[in-house]
Amino acid sequence: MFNDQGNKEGILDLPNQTAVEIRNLDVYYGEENAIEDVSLDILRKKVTALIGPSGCGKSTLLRSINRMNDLIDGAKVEGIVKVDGNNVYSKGLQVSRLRQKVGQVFQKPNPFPKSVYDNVAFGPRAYKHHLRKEKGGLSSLTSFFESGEKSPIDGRHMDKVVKDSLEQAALLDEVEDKLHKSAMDLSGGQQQRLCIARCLATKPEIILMDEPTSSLDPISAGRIEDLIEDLSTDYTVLIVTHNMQQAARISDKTALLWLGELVEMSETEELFENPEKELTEKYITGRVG
Amino acid sequence: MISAREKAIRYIMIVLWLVLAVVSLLISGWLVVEPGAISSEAISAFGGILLAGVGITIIVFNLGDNYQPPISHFLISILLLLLGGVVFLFFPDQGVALPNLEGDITAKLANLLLFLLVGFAGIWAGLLFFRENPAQNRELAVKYFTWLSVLIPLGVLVFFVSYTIIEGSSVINWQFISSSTNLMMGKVGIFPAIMGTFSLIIGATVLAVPLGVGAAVFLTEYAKRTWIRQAVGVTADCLWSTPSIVFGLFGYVFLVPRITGHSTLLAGQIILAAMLLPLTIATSTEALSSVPDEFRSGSLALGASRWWTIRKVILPSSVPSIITGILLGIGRIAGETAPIMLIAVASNTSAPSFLTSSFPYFQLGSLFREVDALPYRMYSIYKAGVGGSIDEAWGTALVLIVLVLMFYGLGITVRSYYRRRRGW
Amino acid sequence: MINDQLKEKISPRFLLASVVFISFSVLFTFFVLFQTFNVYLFLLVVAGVVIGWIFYEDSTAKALLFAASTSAGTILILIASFLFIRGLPAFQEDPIFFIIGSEWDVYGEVYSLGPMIWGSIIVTLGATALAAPLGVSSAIFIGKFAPKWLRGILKPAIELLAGIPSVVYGFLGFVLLNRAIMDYFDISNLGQYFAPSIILGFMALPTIASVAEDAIDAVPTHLEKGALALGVTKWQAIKEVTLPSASSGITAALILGIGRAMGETMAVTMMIGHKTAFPSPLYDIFEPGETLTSLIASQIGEASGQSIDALMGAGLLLFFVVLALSVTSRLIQSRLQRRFRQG
Ligand SMILES: Nc1ncnc2c1ncn2[C@@H]1O[C@H](COP(=O)(O)OP(=O)(O)OP(=O)(O)O)[C@@H](O)[C@H]1O
Ligand SMILES: [Mg+2]
Repeated sequence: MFNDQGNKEGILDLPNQTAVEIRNLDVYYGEENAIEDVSLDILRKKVTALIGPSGCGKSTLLRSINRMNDLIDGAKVEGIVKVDGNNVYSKGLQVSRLRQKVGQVFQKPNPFPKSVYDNVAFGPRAYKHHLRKEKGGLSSLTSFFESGEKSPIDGRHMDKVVKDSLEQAALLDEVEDKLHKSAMDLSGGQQQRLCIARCLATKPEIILMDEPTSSLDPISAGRIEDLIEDLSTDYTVLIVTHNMQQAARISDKTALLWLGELVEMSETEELFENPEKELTEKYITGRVG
Repeated sequence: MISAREKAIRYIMIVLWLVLAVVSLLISGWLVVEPGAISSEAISAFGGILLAGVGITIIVFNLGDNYQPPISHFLISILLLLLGGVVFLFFPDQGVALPNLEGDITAKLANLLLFLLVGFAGIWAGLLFFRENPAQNRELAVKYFTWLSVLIPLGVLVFFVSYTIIEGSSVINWQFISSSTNLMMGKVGIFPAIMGTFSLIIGATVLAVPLGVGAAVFLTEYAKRTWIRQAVGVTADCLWSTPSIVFGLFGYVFLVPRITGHSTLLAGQIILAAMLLPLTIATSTEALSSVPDEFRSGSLALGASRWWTIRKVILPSSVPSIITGILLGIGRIAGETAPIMLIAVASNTSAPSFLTSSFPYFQLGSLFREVDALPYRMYSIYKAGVGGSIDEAWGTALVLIVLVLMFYGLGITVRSYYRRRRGW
Repeated sequence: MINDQLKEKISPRFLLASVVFISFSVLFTFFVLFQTFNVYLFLLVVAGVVIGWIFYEDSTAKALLFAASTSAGTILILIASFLFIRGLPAFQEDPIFFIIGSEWDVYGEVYSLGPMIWGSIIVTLGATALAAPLGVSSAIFIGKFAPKWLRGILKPAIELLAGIPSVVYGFLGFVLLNRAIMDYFDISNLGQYFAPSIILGFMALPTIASVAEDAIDAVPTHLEKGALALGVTKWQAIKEVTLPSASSGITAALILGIGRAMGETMAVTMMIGHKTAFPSPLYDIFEPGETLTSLIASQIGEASGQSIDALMGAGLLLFFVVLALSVTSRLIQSRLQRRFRQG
């Protein structure tokens, strides 16, 4: 049914390659329609960039994938968002599971006022706790004796999980001797990489990034860009950015949003070199927006 | 150039002062005629007023066109005014106002009013002098007047505390603090009262803190609708402003008959908890809502549940502020007398004890007995007539003040320590 | 597998039921305290909470927190209803005489609150006359003129003024101020309306200062900055922009301060003369007298039967007057907040 809408709307023919499938998504804040009938696919293990003028709904779109919109009073989501083929908004879906699978990195680095180690271990610990509760309190006693727990994070190797995540986020060398110092004392760029490490520690499949470099200096931003390119070998990344060069540099696909509607989505090179729509061309050459 | 209006105002002020001075002199002259009515104090009182007038006149003549009066001038005039006021205030019986009415209530009131009038007139005049001058002078004036008005209550605070320290420190010794009163041996000690006060506030804290912090967590983290927040806010406000004697009355008709029928420690703890509760709710709500939302979304985005987020992120990062609030609240209730007077205390009871030497090593019997408490001890000394045991009263007052200051000091230290350390 | 978060959403009824259950059983336990049956009921609740905690930690936590948030309301309702039940009889016989009559005679069993109400009014007025100007101008200094470091000292110091126990204020006032005033004005009685109103003024001042300071603080600084940009001095900006915007907050502070002064008990009880009659002339603030609070505090201990009723009536009156004051103040404050959120 969706296939006949064609490629230009950003919908793929090969469903097994899509990590996130968005169909006819509408998001309202009270009366205001922030996202209007957006349909697009996000490819597995690719970097997808979301661009568009301020207020066009990029963050809103991002938040509707991991259901962070639930936290906003008066936000209402209609339509279908599928992650790995499961509708995110179906009843009975576990939001915490979803968010563990779909990580998010925020615009402003937001480490917790805890040690570096505790920051990274936060997600796995929460996950372990929720898993135990899910099975019922009494089974937590029995599960203590079980070995080979089939969880994405095995809590017994927390040290390893933390170190690996920091390594992946290219931060380990810098904080190796400060693991138990407060994360608030790191520099802005380090804090942002720590937040990426924190997100990686929950072993997500998809990482949502909302302007992750906009509060950083160019050098830190460059390091994060490098990091994102590295991550794309293992993770699906969806990144919101205002920086057109950044989108061109790091993304495989790019989508342009305009006033809550999807204008165009295609291969990054194609979008930047010969955009299909006039509006896209105007936007990337800076004549509107 | 000074404007004509400005000039006129200055001259009017000077004339006013002169008139006041002349009238004063005339009155005192008249008093001289009346044998026995005059005294040196009366004259010094007028002298004081005149002095103040001179001070202001000095300033008037110093104010040139763009002349910015140094603060010292301003302070000198205030000082002179105060001097005049003090001289005036300390010799009221000289009948400055209306000597004929001596002994009459109207005379006392008139004296009081006259003093206030002169004081305010002086202050007003001081302000007026700045009126037609550069606005900056006025700002200076306001700044120093408001500063003065902070200093007055602080002065009272310092005076009260230091007076108590001076009077009380000669009474306090180890025996006074660590033993109970034994009239046979002529010993006076407030140990039971200290222990009683501690048992009261510990019990109140244990009861009130979980409820108060829990309420605050619910309000900030779960309650989406603002009307719930407002409803709880209003009830907490009402509870906070309920007069302490009303709490006492309530305990007297509600708790006492339901527990044992007489005063008990438990009743006191419950009522003090009810008084501590609104303070805890208010301060904890404030502490929790100052935790940045980024922490919440950061934690939730990692797949943590609400409750886990509260437990692991929100409470830990707001705990210092919550503790501060609780400590200040305890400082408040530690000295409460009216609520416990009717329901929990009796003088000269022994200290409550919860530990025993045999299994199970604790006993709760003391919860159902009366206790003594420091504030009540003070009140009972007052009631028995201060004369005999004023030393004991000063000692008790000092211990009580130290206790309260301890809680406040602790609270403020915790607050300033963590405010410096926290990273947002 | 059902998600914890979702469960909170889909079963409000479960939540409500659990909360109602918890609060009612706790309440019930209180009403008939230490009857075996209720202890079992209470233990049942505890067991329920423990089991809930093990299996549904999140929902149980939320239910408990909600129960906690009803505690303040529960206590307030209990206080109001019990005062009402016990205090109403005093008003029933002859409410007008009870409120404005001039006689309180325990032996003659004649009870009317007129002199005490008048005393409360005099003392509160006196306290307000002292505390209002000092409190507001302290707030202006702390909020607008004091440098940051000084502010950090002054605010806790003012808080401390509220922290000194009222019994200590009463004692100091009785020993120092009462005597000084007696000597100074050459009057024959130790207790009067005048002395306690001064002490009460200083006790109510911190409330006024801190609430007024909050109000001044809440005025967005861009308003003032805008005025400053026009070239006026700081004081002019404060006077023309900040204070008018904060005026309702300051009013709220004053009302709250009045409530504080009116409800203060121990200091008044220790400093006033305990004469349950109108002063003559009515404005003679140097006569011994009585206020509502000091009446209750000094007489409840020895009261019985009818006089307890009358005292409960006094408590009821006091409670509702102070309640009305604090609700008014709160309303004013919340209107102020709303204005700034919109504007
Ligand atoms: N919490 C909210 N409550 C109400 N409306 C909101 C909220 N968040 C966003 N909106 C509205 O939704 C629209 C889209 O906002 P969104 O934050 O998604 O834009 P954006 O593309 O991320 O902008 P930017 O580039 O500035 O971050 C805007 O018109 C905004 O006003
Ligand atoms: Mg955005």
